[in-house]
Amino acid sequence: MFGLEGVAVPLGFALTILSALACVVYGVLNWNRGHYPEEARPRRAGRGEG
Amino acid sequence: MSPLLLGAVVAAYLCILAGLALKAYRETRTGADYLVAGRRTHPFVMAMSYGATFVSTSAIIGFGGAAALFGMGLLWLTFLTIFVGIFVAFVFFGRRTRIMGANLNAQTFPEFIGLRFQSRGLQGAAGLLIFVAMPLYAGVVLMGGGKFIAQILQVDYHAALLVLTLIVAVYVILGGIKGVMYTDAFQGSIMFAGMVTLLVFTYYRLGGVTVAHERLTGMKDIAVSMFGAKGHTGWTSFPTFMSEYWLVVVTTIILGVGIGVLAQPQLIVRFMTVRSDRELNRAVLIGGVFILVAVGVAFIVGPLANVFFYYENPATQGQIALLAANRQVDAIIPLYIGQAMPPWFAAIFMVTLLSAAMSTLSSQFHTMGTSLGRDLYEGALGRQGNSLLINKVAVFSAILISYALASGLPLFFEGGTAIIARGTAIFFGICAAAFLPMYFGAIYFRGMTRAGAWAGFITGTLTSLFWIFFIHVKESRPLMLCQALFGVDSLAGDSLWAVVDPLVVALPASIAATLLGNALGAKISSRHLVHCFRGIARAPRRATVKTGLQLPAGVPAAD
Repeated sequence: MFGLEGVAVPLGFALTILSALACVVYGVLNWNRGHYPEEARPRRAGRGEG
Repeated sequence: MSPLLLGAVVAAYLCILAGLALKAYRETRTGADYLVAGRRTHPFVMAMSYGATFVSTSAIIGFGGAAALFGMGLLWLTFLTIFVGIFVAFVFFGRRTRIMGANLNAQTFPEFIGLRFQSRGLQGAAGLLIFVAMPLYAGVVLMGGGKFIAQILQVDYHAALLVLTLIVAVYVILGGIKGVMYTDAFQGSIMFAGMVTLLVFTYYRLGGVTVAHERLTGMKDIAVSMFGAKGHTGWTSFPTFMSEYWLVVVTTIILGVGIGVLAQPQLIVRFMTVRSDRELNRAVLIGGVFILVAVGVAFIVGPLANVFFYYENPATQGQIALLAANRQVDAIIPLYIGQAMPPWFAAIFMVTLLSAAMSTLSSQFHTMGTSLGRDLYEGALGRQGNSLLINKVAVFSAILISYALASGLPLFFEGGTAIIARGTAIFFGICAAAFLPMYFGAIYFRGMTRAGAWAGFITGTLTSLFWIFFIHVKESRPLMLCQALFGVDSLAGDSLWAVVDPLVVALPASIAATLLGNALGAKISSRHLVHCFRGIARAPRRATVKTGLQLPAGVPAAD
């Protein structure tokens, strides 16, 4: 596959791509979950850090 | 490379760093700001900082060079770093760590452990281990950055080392974790862009994805003739099972780093810098993509450098990457950048590698310093004072030690040793053996006892050190203690045990000791456990997670 030999390296290549895709899917599905409500935020912090 | 272009790129880079450092300095007023950024970091900043800290020159220069030697089997490490280092770490460790850390008002990883098990001694011991072991990791990262600057700019190594240290020192000491994370996010973005460009350019230059791989596969006979006795089967296939190369690739590089990432104090503390689970969920997406590029590209380009040096580059025609770089594994990637890439890219990539080194270094300096200041001085010894000042002084001390180590390392280890990758793997392995069973137990098992934590920590640490000093020949030989005491480089002699990584032995030993100690030790009071685990059991699929940030700063965690 993709000019790679044997099983282990192509499998590692495929799992690398699939695991990254899993992270993307998880992130999209849970993008707004676990949100800390605005009214409960400590006032001190003001605007975001980012 | 045009000196004018290089100067302009570096000047712009340093100006942006200075701006971010100034922003962090202005926003850092308390000890909590200095240590956990007030627990209000943006998910992009958190994810990029996590990734950029994790991926250093070790991953790009060190592991990229190692991949040029061992081949694309190292892609398994990319898989583990994404799956274990991002997905498992954020989803199964991050959320619990964030909530429990806020419940306990913990500001460092050793403090988190110490408060969870109600043991200042454990906090101090964990801090001490970090402060003693991490300089090796910081030293090799510093060395990698210094060597790269010296090679690109054709300046003295020690001068490059000094300048690099000073720049990082300024923003870490002044800005604390905010200085670290803001600059990490910027540096991570540069790394991402630089690595994508490197990958695209490499495939383009070598004829496309499949063609490039096939050309590398076609060099199989060369690899086998040179390294076949050690188990090499070609750069696009895995080494022979249980051969010397297989053991190095699997036990040291893939497992050592791939599992060790879960127990890295400088990464764990990032879970405690965000406000809610939402930030962690978003960081999974950002971190997964970042690691795919930042780690994966080095492990693809490294092996493909063999094709370039052997076929494409007139100056090194007929030489594999290792020989083209005079058997200096750590010099392969810088040499490839210098000879395969256009001059303008060398300038950009220099900033990419500088970013990789600096982002990791800044976190290492910060973690070492806070281990000394917060965990040893304030925690274990119980000394009071201006926490901000104490930690700044401690960070400064950590920087001095790392600098001294980086100055001496090139003299101490032989030139051909992939010391950057090896130093990283050693630290990751020690952390995994010493911290992972204790950390996992702390966040998942209410019945975990203080004795269990101590047993795992001591067993993991001592087993790792014994293996490093007396068995694992790559370390025991240059460390020379085994030679001085027993007259041999390794007690394992010529057997394959001499190439088995300490992690493979120390982690199971640590787990066994944790279980045994747990069975013998006294239970922690249920009242304290309720406090620690408040909000962790609930896993709302939507809306609010109010737990974790309700405890005002300074409220004691102990009963």
